Amino acid sequence: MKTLTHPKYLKAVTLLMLMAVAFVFNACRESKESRKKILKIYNWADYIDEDLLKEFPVWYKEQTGEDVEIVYQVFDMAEVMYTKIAMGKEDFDLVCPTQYIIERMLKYDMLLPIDRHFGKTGDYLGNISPFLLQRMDAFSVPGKNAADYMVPYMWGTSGILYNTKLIPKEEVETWACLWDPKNKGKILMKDHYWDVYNVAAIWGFYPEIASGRRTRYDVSNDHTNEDIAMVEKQLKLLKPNLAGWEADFGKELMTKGEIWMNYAWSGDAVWAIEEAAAVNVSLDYVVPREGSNIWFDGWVIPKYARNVKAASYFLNYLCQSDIALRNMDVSGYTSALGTTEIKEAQIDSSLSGTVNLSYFFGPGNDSLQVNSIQYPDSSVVERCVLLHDFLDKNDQVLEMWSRARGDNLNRRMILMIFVFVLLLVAWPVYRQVRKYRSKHKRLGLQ
Amino acid sequence: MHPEAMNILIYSIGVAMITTLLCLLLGYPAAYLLSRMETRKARLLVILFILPMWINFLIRTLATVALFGFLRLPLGEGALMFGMVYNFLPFMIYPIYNSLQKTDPNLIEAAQDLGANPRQVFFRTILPLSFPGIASGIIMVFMPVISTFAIAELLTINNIKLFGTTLQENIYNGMWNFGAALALVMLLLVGLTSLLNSGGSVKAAEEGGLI
Amino acid sequence: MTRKTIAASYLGFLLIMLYAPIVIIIVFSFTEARVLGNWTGFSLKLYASLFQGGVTHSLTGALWNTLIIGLTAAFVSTVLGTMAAIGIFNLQPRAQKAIKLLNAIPILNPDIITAISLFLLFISIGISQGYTTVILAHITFCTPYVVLSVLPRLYQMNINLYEAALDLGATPLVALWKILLPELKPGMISGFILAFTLSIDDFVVTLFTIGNEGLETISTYIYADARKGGLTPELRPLSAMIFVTVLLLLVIINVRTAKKINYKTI
Repeated sequence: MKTLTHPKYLKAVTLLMLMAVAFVFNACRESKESRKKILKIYNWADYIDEDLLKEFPVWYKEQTGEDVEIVYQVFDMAEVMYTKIAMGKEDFDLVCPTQYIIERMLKYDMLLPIDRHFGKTGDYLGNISPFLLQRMDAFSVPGKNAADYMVPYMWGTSGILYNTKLIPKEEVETWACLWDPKNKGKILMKDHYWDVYNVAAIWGFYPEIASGRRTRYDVSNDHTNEDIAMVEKQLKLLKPNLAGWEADFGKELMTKGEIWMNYAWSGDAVWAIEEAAAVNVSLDYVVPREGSNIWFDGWVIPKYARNVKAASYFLNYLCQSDIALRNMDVSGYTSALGTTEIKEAQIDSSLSGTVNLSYFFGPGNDSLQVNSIQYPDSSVVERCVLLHDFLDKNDQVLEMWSRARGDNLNRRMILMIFVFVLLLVAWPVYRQVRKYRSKHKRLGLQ
Repeated sequence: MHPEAMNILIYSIGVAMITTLLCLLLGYPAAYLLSRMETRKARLLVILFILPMWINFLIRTLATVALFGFLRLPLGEGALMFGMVYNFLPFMIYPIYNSLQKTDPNLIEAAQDLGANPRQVFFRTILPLSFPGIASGIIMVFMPVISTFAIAELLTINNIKLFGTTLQENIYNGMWNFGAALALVMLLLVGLTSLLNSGGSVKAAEEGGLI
Repeated sequence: MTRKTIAASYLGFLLIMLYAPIVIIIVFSFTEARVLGNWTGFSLKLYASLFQGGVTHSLTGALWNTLIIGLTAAFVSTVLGTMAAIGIFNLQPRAQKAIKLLNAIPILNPDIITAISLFLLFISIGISQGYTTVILAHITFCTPYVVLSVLPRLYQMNINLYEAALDLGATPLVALWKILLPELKPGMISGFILAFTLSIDDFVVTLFTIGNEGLETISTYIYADARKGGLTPELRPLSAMIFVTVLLLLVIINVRTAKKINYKTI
């Protein structure tokens, strides 16, 4: 103990600490040197078979003779990812946002083109179903072809997940069930302005759609002031009917039977139906007849990426059928690939009913025995629109969303705060007065 | 332009007031009882009160949601209050316990010797001596409640938003300027609270001895 | 007697309230259901898969990161905070008051403001975000708490001891090491524990400063997880084990110190 107090040791300790600090700073500088051997991927959580992250470097070495190390990170909201890249200029090589963020990134010149020079490796990007390629093309801007910048990964529909014991199918086949007062408190809506806007627009303008005056695509994508006002009106009507706005846990509440209906994405619906079956709750999913949207998540290479080659190879790797099947297994979502291998792996002869998928797998596939939630029938697809980003209207829509979501301030709360503040002010005044009085009393007695 | 942001701030202040009051009402008796106990036993119990904080608050909140599910209680304002009190009670108990424990027993005896009845002893001697601990506890509960997120989101299924959530959403949605303005409002509120305490907060925190 | 029962039952009631959710976590760590609150029969599978690893990409990695960040941040902020406290103690009363107010602001400040400010700061001075920035950020918000737990010890101690040591020929460093630090030790230890607890529980500041090197801590892991597909079931046994370990540790430490005190008084 005594020796430790010696100044010599103190110096040594100080030196050690300085070295530790220097080491930490050095460590972050060193990482820049070997950046070319690193591939930074930023993805949704639980959206890929993570064993692939270990297998890809081996495959990459076989194909190119180069080493690569994957740095993998997950995000919970596409907006966080976008903020980190747009504001923080972080150098992710590959990110997987939803289509509207992709559209925004392409429009605002935040993407790099995919490098399709794969050398001796086959080009598997052609495995993407033409159905999605054609939809994706709507995002092209002058001088930039969408297909050069993005690779669709998973896709699906938006609809209603419902408890079959608690509400009949006929009722949930129309969006009217969400606005029906008799379902009050039994509905969960997604806390996601981009596609909830679509539901409100389609429902609000349905008379015009039905009479043919406007198309579904127009009411959802024009974003005029009148359209935004209509969406706000419908959302405000909807709000009192809702049990809540679900961001994370809607599926879980559904499996407990507390909630009857939940606006959900098809992939989540598949997950929830399986989980509910394990605890004997029967859920199902339907796309209402007024129409909905078809969305996809896709891979893009952001502007600040520094390893475009490995990123492009990784995209190519993901577009192989066997790899895509593994990712489907893990996530429950539907792969964007339209190959025969994928199709055959999905056929399940125990399912009743068939689905017309000629739009996705090509002609001749008009009666396949596959899961109709993962692969919607062509009749469903016909009433599902493609949604664009709000782009320069984004702030206006966000403000509308915030107004529609509203606040919970009520008269009771204001009254309570008022009483509180009053007491806080009155208490010291009262004490001061008492002090003053007792002082006078004492003086008077003397 | 954004009345709902202001309303959310006022609502959050209200929630914070109720939470602080409930924590005080529940926590003070507990701290008092603990301070009357044998030191060894009291220390163990104090640790038991703090221990839940070692489990990530998100997991704890999710478990609270599950608890409400079991008890068939609805999620909403009530659940929110429970969650808040549940999360912040230890922050109230600890400083009060510390300042009560430091109270000189001779002072209490003196008061008794001078003929004060138990009620007078408490209100005239013990309570005023524990004011620093109370102040410290109030500060550790009040501001954090306003800026908490996740707890409100989970326990009210996103029906109730507190100011912290609004701030965060604005930043995430790329509305940085508005988010920064909201943050400044919050900072002003912080300044105001500490000014109202006129330096008392610092002293209180010291004397209350945050752990 | 009845008074004691009332007191005990009141404390018991509060403890039950505090522990009910934790009991739920522990109970449901023994079933396989993905959703917390659904019971699909008793099973130890989650514990097994936690130990086998490979189920989740980086749960154990995240645990290690959390511990390393927490310990480093707690250590550095204890050193910094103690130095700051000694400095503050030696200032003029007015300067002391001003610095103490400045020290209180980060404590009263909501996490998210600290997080955004640090995020902007790191971007603007161009430090690449990762381990370094998370640790720096954690040190930033932990240090004021350490200052607050060390200062009272300084006010309580007899400063003449230090001066006496100097008069008797000790160099300031030796006096610091032999007189001051032993006096401050309890405050420093509680400051360290507080800083560590704050660091491992922090989410917001970590999220904004974590960068893109693939770094993950338990809290960012949990949050990313909760958003999509629900909480990873393995987190339940993990929390249960952390909780039980900490409980046992604290009880053992407490019993031992209590014994020591008894021994001394005898």
